[in-house]
Amino acid sequence: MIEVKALTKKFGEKTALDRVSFTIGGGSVFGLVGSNGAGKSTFLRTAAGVYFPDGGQILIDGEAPFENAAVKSRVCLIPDYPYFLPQATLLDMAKFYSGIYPRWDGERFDELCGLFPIKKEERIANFSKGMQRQAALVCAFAACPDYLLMDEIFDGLDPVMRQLLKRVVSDRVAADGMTVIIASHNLRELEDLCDHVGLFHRGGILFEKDIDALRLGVCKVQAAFKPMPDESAFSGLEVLSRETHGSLVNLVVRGGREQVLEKLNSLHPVFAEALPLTLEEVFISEMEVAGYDINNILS
Amino acid sequence: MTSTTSSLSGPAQFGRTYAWALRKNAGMTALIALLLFLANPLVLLVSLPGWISENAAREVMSQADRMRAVETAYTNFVTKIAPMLALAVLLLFCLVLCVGLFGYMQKKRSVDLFHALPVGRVPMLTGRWCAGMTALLLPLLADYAAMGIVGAAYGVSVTQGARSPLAQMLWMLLMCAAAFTFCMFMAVCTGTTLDAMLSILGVNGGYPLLILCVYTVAGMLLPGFAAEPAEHLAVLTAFAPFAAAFPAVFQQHTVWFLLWWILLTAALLIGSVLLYRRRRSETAEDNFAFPIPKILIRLILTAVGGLGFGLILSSMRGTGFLVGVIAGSLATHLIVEAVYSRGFQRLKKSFAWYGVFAVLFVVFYGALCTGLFGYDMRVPDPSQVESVSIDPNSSWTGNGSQIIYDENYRRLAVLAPTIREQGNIRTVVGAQRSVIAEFRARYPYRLKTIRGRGLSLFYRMKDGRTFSRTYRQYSADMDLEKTLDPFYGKLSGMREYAETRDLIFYVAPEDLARITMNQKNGDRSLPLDGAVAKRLQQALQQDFLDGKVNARVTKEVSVSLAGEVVGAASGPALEDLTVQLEFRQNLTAKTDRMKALLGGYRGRFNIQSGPYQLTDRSAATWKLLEELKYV
Repeated sequence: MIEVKALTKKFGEKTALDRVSFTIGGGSVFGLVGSNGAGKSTFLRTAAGVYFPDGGQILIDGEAPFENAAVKSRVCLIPDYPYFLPQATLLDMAKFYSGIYPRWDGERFDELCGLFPIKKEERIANFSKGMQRQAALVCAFAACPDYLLMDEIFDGLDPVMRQLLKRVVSDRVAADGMTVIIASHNLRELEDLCDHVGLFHRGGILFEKDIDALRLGVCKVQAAFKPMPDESAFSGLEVLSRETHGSLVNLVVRGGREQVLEKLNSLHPVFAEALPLTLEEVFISEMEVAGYDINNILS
Repeated sequence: MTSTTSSLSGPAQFGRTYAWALRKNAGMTALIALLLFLANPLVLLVSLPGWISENAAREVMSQADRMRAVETAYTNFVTKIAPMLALAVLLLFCLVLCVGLFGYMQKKRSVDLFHALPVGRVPMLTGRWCAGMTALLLPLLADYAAMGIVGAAYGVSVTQGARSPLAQMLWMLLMCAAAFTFCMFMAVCTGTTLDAMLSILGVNGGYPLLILCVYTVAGMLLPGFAAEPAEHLAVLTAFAPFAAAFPAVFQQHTVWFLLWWILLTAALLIGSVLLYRRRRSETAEDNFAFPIPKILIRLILTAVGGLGFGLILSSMRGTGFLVGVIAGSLATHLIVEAVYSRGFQRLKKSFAWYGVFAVLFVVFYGALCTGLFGYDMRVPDPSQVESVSIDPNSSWTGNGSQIIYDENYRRLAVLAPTIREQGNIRTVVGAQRSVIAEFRARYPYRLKTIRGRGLSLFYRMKDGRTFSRTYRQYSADMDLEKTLDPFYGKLSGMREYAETRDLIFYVAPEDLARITMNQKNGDRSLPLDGAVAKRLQQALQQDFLDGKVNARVTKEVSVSLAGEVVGAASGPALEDLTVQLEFRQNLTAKTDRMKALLGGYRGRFNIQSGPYQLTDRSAATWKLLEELKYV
């Protein structure tokens, strides 16, 4: 379990993480989403023991990771730009990691090298961006960590590799109870993979929820009115976003689907229906509430 | 989830890091070894047969002399040329290895990898440091072993009395450790490799230059102070291991010098570890991880720029010093700031540190102008003085013999006239007081570039302390030679002064090998047998006591507009005869005086002899030479 208690991290004058508190349960796949500069990568690096917190603490199974080899041996970080030793091949990296990570699994390494289409004798520097990420993934999974932290891992991976990655992650979570944290802007992929999601914005966390609860807690409805009621008529609903086109109104509303439709039907619409809501729509709606709206940015 | 993991122990983390770093640098180690082999054993392997055959052709030499000549050549190579090349290579690779081993902490991407590994920062840093030291140590050991093997194969070894190659090798190792640790310290303190390299160069070049400038300014400003840079190399390079490495390897040093470098290296290592533990990973690719080195380096370089340019301007025009200091320091501050900050964004803030330099300079200059808190006025209590050595720094008609070298012509001792009698000591202290009065008349002191002859005094106090002053004429309106003239007169009459002026009082007659008479009608050189040598030594000693050999030149000294001391040499000298003495080579100390002069040294030595100029025909030496029909 990862406990984050009033975690603060500053870079000079800038506060990247501002008293962030939440908990990530063991054996879960946690998606970190948020605007650019929200502090997602900083959080991952702090969790991996790369950064020392300026305030608060982050505890992995009750222990702080910074300068704690015992904790770090159970944590693996794949940063947004993975680094490999100069001139190294995947075999060199495996040799390097195997001497340091006590649970390095050579068989798993070979198995993963078979799964991902990369040549372990070739220099990693000559790999494409996506192949370098695959190389980083192979090393990380072979290190058998309890906690795998991945930053923008879907970047550069082709759709097939994304599916493969999701499958491998799911297998490891199911088999070993590995906890995976993925920071990404690719909400579509996260939606498939994550069971929890945390939304970061300007150094703080707006919410941290079970992804199903999140979907159930926010719904999108489309309704037609003739005539269109006053704005005050919707005050009984917690509207996150609203778009009106003539007599048609699209609403993203916090609350259960049935409950929202019931309230909406009481306004006697021509018709009203609930639409499926993607994580991206939830993200945009929540960010709009937080003031991170395309219209605000443009204005 | 619950799982148990046994992480690596601290020593295991160190061991893995060390082994991995050593393996990664195996190629570099091999390259160093190859370069050292090409520079030293290979050259020796090619040269030694040549030296042997060259000496074998010299039929006049005995077999023992031939072997000795080859051994001397071998010794010269092993103790002078080989260490020079080896040290240059090793110091260069200190920088290269530093970049290779510690560059990871200066790139954000590599920091993400290495600082996320389950390896503590202490084993990570020390493991790499040890790997770097091994990469430097092994090739050096192999180099010296190979040179020893080559020598042994040809039956030659280092001559007795020469500096021990083992000691030189250990010094090299210590200085390489110091230089490499210094590089590591700078790598920990800086955020980029460029800043680390600039800082290493800045300190190693800037610090010695700063001390040099400080000594020069103090010598030109403060009466009684004079520091010869060559005699203060330990201070001059105290914080600059790259600059200190060569003097450390090639010169004899006190135990304090050794202790200093051991302690400084240890302090740098401990400091690096402590700072690295506190180093923020996010400072990678910033200028500096810790601001103190930047502040100090900028301050050092600003001071060097200021004092250096001030001295340049003052050498052109006496009053230009302060203008030079302001212009030079300001320009250097701007340059250093622009280089470190990659622009002028932080220039305004940096001027606060320029203010610190300005304050320090005012304090430094003010203290020197006002005599450095009484330094200029201080004289020892004559009753507490055990002896005083005097360097009159005057002109003499002949030099005689004062310098002793060891077998390999490294300087062992320089004879300095020494006074021990209380009455004479009072005379010396009195002369010092009169010189001080001469300077004090020009108080507060101002920077002068004009130099003239003066007086150096080195007091040994009864409680074991020492006290030294060197007075140099630095003003056009001052004639120190004239002020000291009565003192020099008294000095010449002191028997103990005369007896400690020349090594002729220290050698045994059998040490004299040959006499050469330089006369107008040509030179004449004759070997000296025991009886003649004894009489000649006695005659020369008598002439020194009578003031009839190597007399002081009492010329009228004046100072030209260009600042040069000029004057016609017109000392009392017998112009048609100069006597040159040649001492035997590789002498041993036979007299108690010589043994006392050499201190604990029990090896063989050589004496450098200069001319003996007699004052007139009444000199005992002249009479002896006439009697022997040598003249």
